[in-house]
Amino acid sequence: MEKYYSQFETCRQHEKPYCTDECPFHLDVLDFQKKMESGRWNAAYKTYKTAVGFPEIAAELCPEYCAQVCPRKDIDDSVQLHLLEKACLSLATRKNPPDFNLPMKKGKIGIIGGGISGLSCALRLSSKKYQVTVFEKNDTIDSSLSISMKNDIERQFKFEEYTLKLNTEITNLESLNFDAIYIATGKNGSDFNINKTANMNGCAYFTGGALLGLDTIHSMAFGLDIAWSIEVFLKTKTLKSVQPQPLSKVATDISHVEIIQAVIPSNKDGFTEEEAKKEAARCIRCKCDACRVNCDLTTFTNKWPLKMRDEIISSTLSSGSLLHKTPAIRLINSCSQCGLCSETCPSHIQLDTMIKEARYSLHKQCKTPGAFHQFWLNDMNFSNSEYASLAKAPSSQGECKQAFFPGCYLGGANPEYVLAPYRQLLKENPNTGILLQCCSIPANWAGNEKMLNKELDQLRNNWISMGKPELITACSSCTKHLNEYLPEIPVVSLYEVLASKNCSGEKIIGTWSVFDPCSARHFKKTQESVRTLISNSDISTEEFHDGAKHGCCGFGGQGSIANPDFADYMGKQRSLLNKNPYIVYCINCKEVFLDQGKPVKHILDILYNIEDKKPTETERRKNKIILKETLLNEFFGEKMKNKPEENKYELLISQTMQEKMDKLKLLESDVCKVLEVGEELGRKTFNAEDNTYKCYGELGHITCWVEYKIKDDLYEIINLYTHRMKIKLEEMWNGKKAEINLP
Amino acid sequence: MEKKQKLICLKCNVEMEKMDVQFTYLDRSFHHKVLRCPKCGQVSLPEDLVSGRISEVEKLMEDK
Repeated sequence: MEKYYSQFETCRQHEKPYCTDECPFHLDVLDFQKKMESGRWNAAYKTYKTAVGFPEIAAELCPEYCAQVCPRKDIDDSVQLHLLEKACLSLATRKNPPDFNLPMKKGKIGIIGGGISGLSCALRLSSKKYQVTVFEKNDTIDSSLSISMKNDIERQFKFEEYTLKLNTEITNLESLNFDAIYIATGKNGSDFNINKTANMNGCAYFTGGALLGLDTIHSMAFGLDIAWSIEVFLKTKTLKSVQPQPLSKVATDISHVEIIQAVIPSNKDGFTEEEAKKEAARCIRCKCDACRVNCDLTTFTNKWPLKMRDEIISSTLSSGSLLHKTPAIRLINSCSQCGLCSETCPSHIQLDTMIKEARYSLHKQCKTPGAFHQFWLNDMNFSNSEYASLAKAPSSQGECKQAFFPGCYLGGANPEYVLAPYRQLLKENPNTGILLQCCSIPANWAGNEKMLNKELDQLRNNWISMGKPELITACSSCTKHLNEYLPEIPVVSLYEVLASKNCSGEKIIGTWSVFDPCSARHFKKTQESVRTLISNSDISTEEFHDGAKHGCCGFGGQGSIANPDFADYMGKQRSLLNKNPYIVYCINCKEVFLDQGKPVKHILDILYNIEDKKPTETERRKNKIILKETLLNEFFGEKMKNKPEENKYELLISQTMQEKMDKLKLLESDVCKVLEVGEELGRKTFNAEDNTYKCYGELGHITCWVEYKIKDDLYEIINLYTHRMKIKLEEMWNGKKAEINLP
Repeated sequence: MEKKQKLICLKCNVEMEKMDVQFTYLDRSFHHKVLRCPKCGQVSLPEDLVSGRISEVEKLMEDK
């Protein structure tokens, strides 16, 4: 995990906005604007004053360097920070500096020159209670300042002790006895042969301000920076000057920024309260939030990736202690693995890959709750069992150049989704094989390395036994998974093949939008082929604003058991991309949109006129068996040898109970296994009030309770519910040995 | 809240009583008083306990 940790060093979450970068005082503009927008004038004044030292002077002289770098200048007009500063000063009511009764510190500082740079330095140091003496050769401080500016100086020094020696010209430094001296003698002033900094006889010398050719505003900022250098010298006896900050790497996406024209003050004194709030609200708050904008997980959990990184690292550290915290287990198992976070991150931090590694790490340490992935892994095992998998080619040798690899979900949704295109593929090439099995992506998403390798081996062996054909895939997730884990297998999309044969379907009315699955985000050819097939069918379409740059429908990563609310959130977000009905080419996307009530069609629905509803989980299993049986029968003239055992009990399940079973991911065969405990072992209870029986059984990592009635030979399911906690039964109960082992 | 139901253990033909039962999840143990057969120890959990407190504790354990 360490390699992912170091990636975050390039995270730009804390980069300054461009305006702060450009401001000589490095004003925290984000904080200032937030306070201005909400009308907290005194708080905004405090932020401003802390940055500039003398707020009235800075606001008066501010040349608004920030306006040149404000991204709004390319949209409408730069935010008018100068006017906002002035508004802040006129609207703030508590402008007096705080009065602290602190003891004076030891350091003695001499400042030569009572100009704005020297005074800024003097203010910062005297407010930190250093003993400051300012020498001014004239009979007044900076003569170029206006009365209001001089009032500002008086106000800021109101509670500070410092010595101002007017009419005192310093001609040589030897006569002075200080720990540090700031030489700010102004334009054409004497630098006493000090080149910027020097350390002589234990005293530090700094030159700055207009003496170095700086303008007034930069001289002020320089004086504040020198105060920092002097304090460092007093504490450490080392000479350090404020280094120029590296340029901000903040990356702001302005493509979604709304045009709002600059607010024009209604009177000559500047903004009113409402105008100031409105102008502050125009600030787009430049910050790098690409991950927060694009990644559903960061938005849903309201966590920045840096925080996620720390939680993930903490959760994956190996520790046997019960006090060890694993706060990110759900987060790690919620991620859809769509990869949009790393693709849109300006630093390309691979949060998704880190999460995938974390899943493997958690599984290895047995920290993942088994129930999170149990259903999907069982489903994969069933798809790859003798009842549902098939690797066959029509030729007598059993080998082929091309084989259809539909994936396990397509046939589970409706066998016709596999049979119809296979018929067409055979028409084009009579020796097209069929490789029917799960690609093993659920094992990858569960972080189960052992199971993944086993399934990949099986898939590789089947492919080799078929003569290493090119696989025609119908599912982009399968394609992506095969490209990553079995790159030796050549793959082509079914939709590319069909588009090359100029296939078309029946026209459907209205305007539709093609929803590209997240796994096909980089499969441009597949995307184009699906659009060709739609255009061949004379269907009107409208593209999404962001094209294929959107997250997952909620199925990816199979996090819906670990975090059902998050999966539902993703489904909702994707179904709101626009108002049009969608055409999809991933069966999982279709089922998610059906659940969300979004009108949707699979491209195969259009091409082969398939109209179908979402199957129940039990029907999905049955469909897989039917598919294998039909394939064997129709294309190879064979009969299916083995079929799974029929359910032991005939069940009567209402629509409500069926929906509950699907939500709990329970199959009819699961319910029968539980009933067997009650009926065969006699471990059941009876409620005479409503004449119902109740029993429970463990189904791997979950325990299922079934309430039922018996009518003749029918078992009517009244209710069912599950939990993950295990019930611990005692081996000895009342002195007798008790049955504790449930099937 | 748990409903008060008169439940009979069909194995022993006796009424279930409220007794302590141990639960385990993610290497932690808990105990709670639920209906249990005084003779064979069979347990019965009502749905409101499962979807309420048990589900809450499971979530707490998973997010600890």
